[in-house]
Amino acid sequence: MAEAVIFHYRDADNLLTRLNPNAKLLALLSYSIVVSSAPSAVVLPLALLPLLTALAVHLPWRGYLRESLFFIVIAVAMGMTAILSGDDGLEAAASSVSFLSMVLSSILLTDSTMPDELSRSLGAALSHVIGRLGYSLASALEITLSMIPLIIDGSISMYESYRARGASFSSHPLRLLCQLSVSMLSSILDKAEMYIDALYSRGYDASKRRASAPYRMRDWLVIAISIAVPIMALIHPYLR
Amino acid sequence: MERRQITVFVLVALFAALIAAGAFIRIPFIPVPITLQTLFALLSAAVLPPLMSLSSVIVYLVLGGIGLPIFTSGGGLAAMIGPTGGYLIGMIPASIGGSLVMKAFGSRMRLASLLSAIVSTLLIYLVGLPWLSAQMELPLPATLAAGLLPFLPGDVLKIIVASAVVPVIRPRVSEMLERE
Repeated sequence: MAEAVIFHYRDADNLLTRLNPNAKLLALLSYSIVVSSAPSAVVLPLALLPLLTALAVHLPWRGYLRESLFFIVIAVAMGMTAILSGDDGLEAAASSVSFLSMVLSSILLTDSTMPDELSRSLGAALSHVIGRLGYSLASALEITLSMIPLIIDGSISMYESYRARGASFSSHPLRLLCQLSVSMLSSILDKAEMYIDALYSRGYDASKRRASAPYRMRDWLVIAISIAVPIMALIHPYLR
Repeated sequence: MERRQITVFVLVALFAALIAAGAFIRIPFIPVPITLQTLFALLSAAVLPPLMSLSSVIVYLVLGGIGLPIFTSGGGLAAMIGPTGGYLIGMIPASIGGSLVMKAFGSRMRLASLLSAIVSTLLIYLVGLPWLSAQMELPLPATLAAGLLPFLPGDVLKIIVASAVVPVIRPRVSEMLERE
């Protein structure tokens, strides 16, 4: 249950879902660089790109708006502090809009990419730079991803069992938090030992090369554009 | 792979997962709810050797940085480079600083746990507050009012909890790492 709540991947049939995870990640990084460094007048048209993409893939707005409330508040605060610091309305709006555009771009990435595939692809790409350490990083990311829902589910169960016994944060927060933390960590370390035994008995090798998503022509096109655009933005006088 | 290497791997991933899971566990408190993200970051620094503690924080930041919603405010680059990103980046020096304090005072477990938690918390704020101030263009009083004061009671609670929990958990983790 925790996994469905935490990781927002939607199995949809659209171009974004079919793109290689690394191509999407590079596009996200490229877009973030361009939108955060663009002049104010250019930010607002640039913000249309993730917005139109979100509309095209039928992003479930309601759920994401609820979850992104913190970011919206931060964006408004950024705009207000910019105005109070003497920036004009356009600059203040641009700083808020560029921040929210990056948030929306990240949402598009996680909405269209399985977390396991993303970490495996990232590891494979990094292996060209840092060798087998890239695969080790990917393995660490995958193991971490698999443990997060287990920990959350375990914590919720433990907390509910404490509450069922009459424990309450309002009466003894310190004692309850200590007891919960020790119980939770002891239980998790028990599971970790079993996990270690299982991996060792199977001859697990974290730095072993693993299969990742293939690259197609459309992925190379996205990668080329993602590399070219920030370079062009750097040298083009209007975009500086 | 040797068993000890697998143990190191699993413990790094485990504490990264704990920090990530902590972002989802909210406890009602005054004046703001506490999330257990920084508590597990403090525990990671106090329980693991410095390199392992640093690795678990880096794995956590990489996962959140690539877009997974495992920061308190969500996920993605925007969260890391936005006004509250300093508190995330601050976990890097906190993981090393807290772990080195444990190494220095190792024989006096309770004192070491308390000092480690305090040092880790201070290091998070030493990065987080200037970052917040620079991003939002806030003067010092406003930065402290927005970025420190509301979280202080919760952080004090976390420091006390960490100093109580570490003497129980650290020997267990050390024993796991020493086992062949």
